[in-house]
Amino acid sequence: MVIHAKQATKAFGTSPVFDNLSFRIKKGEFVSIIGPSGCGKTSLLRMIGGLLPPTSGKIDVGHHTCGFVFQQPVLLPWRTIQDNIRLPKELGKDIQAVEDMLSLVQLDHVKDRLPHQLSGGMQQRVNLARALITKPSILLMDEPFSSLDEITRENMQDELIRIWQASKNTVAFVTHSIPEAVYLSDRVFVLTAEGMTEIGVPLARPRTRKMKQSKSFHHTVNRLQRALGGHHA
Amino acid sequence: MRKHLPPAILILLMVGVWELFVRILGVPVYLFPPPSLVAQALWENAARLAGHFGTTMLESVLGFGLGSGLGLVLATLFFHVRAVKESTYPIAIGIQSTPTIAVAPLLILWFGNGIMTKVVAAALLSFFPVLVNCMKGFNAVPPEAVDLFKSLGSGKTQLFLKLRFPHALPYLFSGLKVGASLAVVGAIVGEFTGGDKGLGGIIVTSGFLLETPTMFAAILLASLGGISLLGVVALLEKRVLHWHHARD
Ligand SMILES: Nc1ncnc2c1ncn2[C@@H]1O[C@H](COP(=O)(O)OP(=O)(O)O)[C@@H](O)[C@H]1O
Ligand SMILES: [Mg+2]
Repeated sequence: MVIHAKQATKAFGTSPVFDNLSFRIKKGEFVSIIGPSGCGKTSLLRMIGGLLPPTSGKIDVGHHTCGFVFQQPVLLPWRTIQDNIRLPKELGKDIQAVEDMLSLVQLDHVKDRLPHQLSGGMQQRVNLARALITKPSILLMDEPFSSLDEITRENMQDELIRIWQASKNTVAFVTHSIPEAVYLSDRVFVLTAEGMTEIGVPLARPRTRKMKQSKSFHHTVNRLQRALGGHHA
Repeated sequence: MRKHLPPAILILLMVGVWELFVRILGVPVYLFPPPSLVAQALWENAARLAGHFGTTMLESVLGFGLGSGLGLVLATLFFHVRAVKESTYPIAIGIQSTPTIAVAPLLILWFGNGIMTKVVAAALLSFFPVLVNCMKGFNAVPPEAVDLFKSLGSGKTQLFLKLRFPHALPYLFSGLKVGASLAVVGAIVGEFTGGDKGLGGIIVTSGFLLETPTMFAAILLASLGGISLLGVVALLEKRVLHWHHARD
């Protein structure tokens, strides 16, 4: 067990975000979290990563380390790409070789550029590389591809699967897109104001784009749509 | 170069029109001297004026350094210690809202008739824009960036030095540019009040003596001084913030 939530409850002031969440995520699992805006997905990730204390209950990650990939790339605009990826080292983290990360996300050729000189998709790859360089056992990703165009997004999904299978870390992935959640995940958590339900994805690994046309893919998408009910994801 | 051509032409045109009008209408020289007489005064008093220009610039630069340093330190302190901000910020606003000209005689009482009064006056005017802009910059850091640093185990000092401070630099420079111009204003206000040194001193004395061309020459130099100081800061900004300018 890598992540174990025990009756985790969060409220900001008097307004509750979620109540009594309990779940377990196994080592090496890829879990997506989906739900309407404001249901607390970001808060949940921040709680797993230890940035936000629960109001009651707890989320236990044991000795495991977390790496964040944010919705916005959050690159430091005054640093080159390689210096952005190197940031964790300056903050005292053990890191892998920067060159390895650059080639992992295929950005060797732009390592000396500044962030604003890169496309949105490339910036998001830097974001990913900066999280991976610390070898986190848990990767927490908050709608990382939501601002990308459809083609870039599909490529990034495949790249993420490739990287995840090579590194075998545990992923908690927040998304607004039901097909994205199904394509990437072993399980999908549906978070709504009523609470959390989970749906398993019966697709084999490795995933291929052809699976998006399969019956079980569409079946899972439909189940998720029903689970989200009237809530628009 | 092409960018500077239109304003240069306009200025030349205005100088020409000024010369013509003053001469044609026969305006008394002590009221409104023609540019040619101002140029002559500038030429004849070059050595004296240069000395006074140097004095004013020295006061301005020292006051600017002192004021902006204080603004930066206060902003950092205000940001990190809430109690200090809540107790001190109203005082800073009070100082800012008090016209410097009103406290200049008091400054002379405290700091004497020498350079110190002028430096303090310049500092008083330049510290506030730096303070305000710095605080704005420190607070403008996106919360996700703070999350990133915290998730990487960053302490407060690293968070400040590696994230907040560089992020605030564009804001800091906006404040510095305003502060640079105001520093010259402060120095000259200080000179008005005490002594006969500096461009402010020249402006007052030549006013008494009805040496208006000299007065105009001094005013011209004062504005040149303000522009130069602003220019130096803008140049520095361009170098330091190359990553910021390239973005827009
Ligand atoms: N730091 C905070 N202080 C107060 N309220 C917050 C804070 N962070 C989030 N919230 C509120 O909690 C709710 C859930 O937010 P969030 O976790 O960002 O949802 P999601 O990511 O699912 O859109 C929202 O109503 C939001 O306004
Ligand atoms: Mg969110």
